[in-house]
Amino acid sequence: MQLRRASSSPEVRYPGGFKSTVRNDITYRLYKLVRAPALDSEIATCYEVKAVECAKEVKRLLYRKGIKARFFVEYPDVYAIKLNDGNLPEWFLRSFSEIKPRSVREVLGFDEGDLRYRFGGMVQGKWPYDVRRHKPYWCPALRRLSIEVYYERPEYWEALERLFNRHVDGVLQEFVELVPRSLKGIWDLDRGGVKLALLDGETLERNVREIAEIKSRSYNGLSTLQLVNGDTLLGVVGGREEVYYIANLLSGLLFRSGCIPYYVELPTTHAEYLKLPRALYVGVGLKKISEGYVRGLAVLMTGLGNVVGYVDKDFHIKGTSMEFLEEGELEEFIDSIKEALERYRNNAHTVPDLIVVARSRKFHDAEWETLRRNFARRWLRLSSSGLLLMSSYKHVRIGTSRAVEVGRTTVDGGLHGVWLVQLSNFRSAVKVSYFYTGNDVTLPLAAYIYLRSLDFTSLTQNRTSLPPVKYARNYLKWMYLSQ
Amino acid sequence: MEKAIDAIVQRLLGLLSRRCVTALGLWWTRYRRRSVLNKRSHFLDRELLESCFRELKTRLSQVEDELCRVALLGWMDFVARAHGGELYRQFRELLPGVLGLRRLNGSILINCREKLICNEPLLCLKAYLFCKKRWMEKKLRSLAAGTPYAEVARVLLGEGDIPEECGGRSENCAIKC
Repeated sequence: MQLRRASSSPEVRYPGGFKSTVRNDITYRLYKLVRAPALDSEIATCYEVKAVECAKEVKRLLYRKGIKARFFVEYPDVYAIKLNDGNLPEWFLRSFSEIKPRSVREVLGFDEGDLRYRFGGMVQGKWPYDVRRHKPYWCPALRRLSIEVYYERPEYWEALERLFNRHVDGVLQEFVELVPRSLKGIWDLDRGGVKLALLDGETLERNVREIAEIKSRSYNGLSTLQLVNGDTLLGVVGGREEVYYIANLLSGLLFRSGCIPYYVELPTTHAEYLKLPRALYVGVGLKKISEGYVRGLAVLMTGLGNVVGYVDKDFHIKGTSMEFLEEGELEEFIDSIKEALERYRNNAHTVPDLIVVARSRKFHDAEWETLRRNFARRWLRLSSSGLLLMSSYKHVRIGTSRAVEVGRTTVDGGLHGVWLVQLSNFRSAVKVSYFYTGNDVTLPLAAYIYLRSLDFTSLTQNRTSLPPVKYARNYLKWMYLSQ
Repeated sequence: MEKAIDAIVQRLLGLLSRRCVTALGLWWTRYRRRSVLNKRSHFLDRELLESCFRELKTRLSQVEDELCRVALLGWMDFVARAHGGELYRQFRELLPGVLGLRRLNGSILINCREKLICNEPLLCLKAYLFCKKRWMEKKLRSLAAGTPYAEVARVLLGEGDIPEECGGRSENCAIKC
């Protein structure tokens, strides 16, 4: 079999005529080990190809033969093989069969480029960057938004004003007002309302503890203080990234003001995927605060992207695996999340069709059992029709706009599986590991794409993080820094 | 006194004019939403309704935004129902295609009994136009006020006009007494 590196580098056009060349290198392909003994006499002891011990031996052997491989702990018979120019040897092809990736659109019926963004004033956009041209989709009050901008040096304000006047359309300028304030001292930022702080890079470093304290105090699920490094801002002025910079900033500020900058329209009629806009997303972050202790924080977010609550708790943990030492503590954390869910349910008068719990580390079987027992029981008042646990983190490069199913297994009460997905602007694939009470194996993939699009604090097309997880981790970061 | 009586008579005659009856018929179809004025539509000015329908159809071919298209189709639905007969048949035939609900093999993409459809407001609006289910009306009424979807939902529920952002209601369709 001839292995080729994909050499095409398609150009992606961004609004405003900017172009970006996307790397389209396929570096890894997935293979399933089918016949271990045929591999080599050296691994004759490797009888069970689905065991991690076998996978370790196979990996070592492949390495000795000049083939770099990674295996998946969840599915140890599946390997990501690094491609070198040239052919893979005959003996390899006799023992392994390729798991072919498919295009994301083929798997789901749409990809992230098919999403549409609905703004206020009946405007539909193809890009979230259109946020600088249209009114937000929804705001709690229709009156003009006033955002105080605290600047440390006048040139920071001048640069921001220039970008704002140059790239923000009149309709939005009428709606959002930036009010300049000269920063007298760092505690000026410790006031109510949404604020933007344009600070010197040195100040950000020198006063990190005070800033962290102010930032932590400004949180109510989401911080109302947006920090900007003024020197970075000055560097942006005159460059081609001006448009993206101001769009990101504006989207974040609107979001912090309680607005939903845009509504993401799912381009599908597939019933299972239609659970996503009405799902409730729980992003979990963990931060090690001392030896044997972590602080856990869960941010609750709706399918519209707005944050509706958060809960936090300290845990005992064992070793470096960050597994909870006492199951009772996890139960307590879940109870707090359930209380927050109950509050949301009472306020919104709605039961979500699906609860999605997301974090970066993969979920363990015991956690699935505990969470399922708490959230996916039909007789519970809080019950929803489904529970999805998903974790996502960067993995190997499989080629853009591709997805490959690493494996799936039936577990007690649902499905467990792993996908690799590399969206069109990703440098590498993201590994999506999931547990799901339903039976549609593609839902976690759709959930990843949808959830990712709800990040109003970063519109960058190559971002891989998921918003509620990111919000939780950011909050923990500031909490930790302030202590 | 005579003048006043004359004015009242003129007004009553005006109310009986075909234009007024047509406006009344259109109001009725908007109010009832699901009824077709088949047997009574000969009292209406069908030419007036046809010219409004034609104009909306032309605008539909020029508008790209799906939400505006739904608003225009909502009005076409009312006009076609008021007209009844051939125009309504034509409209029903045209509807799944212009809503993007028809597969290549001709079958329909959505199931009118699938409640999850209304989780996505744009799809719910399209589905309502096609299915006219009462449970969908409840879902449309629950859309958050102040959002573009809620504005178009009001159009489909016979309570709003074509939004200004979509070009508003044109002269041909401004059928009033």
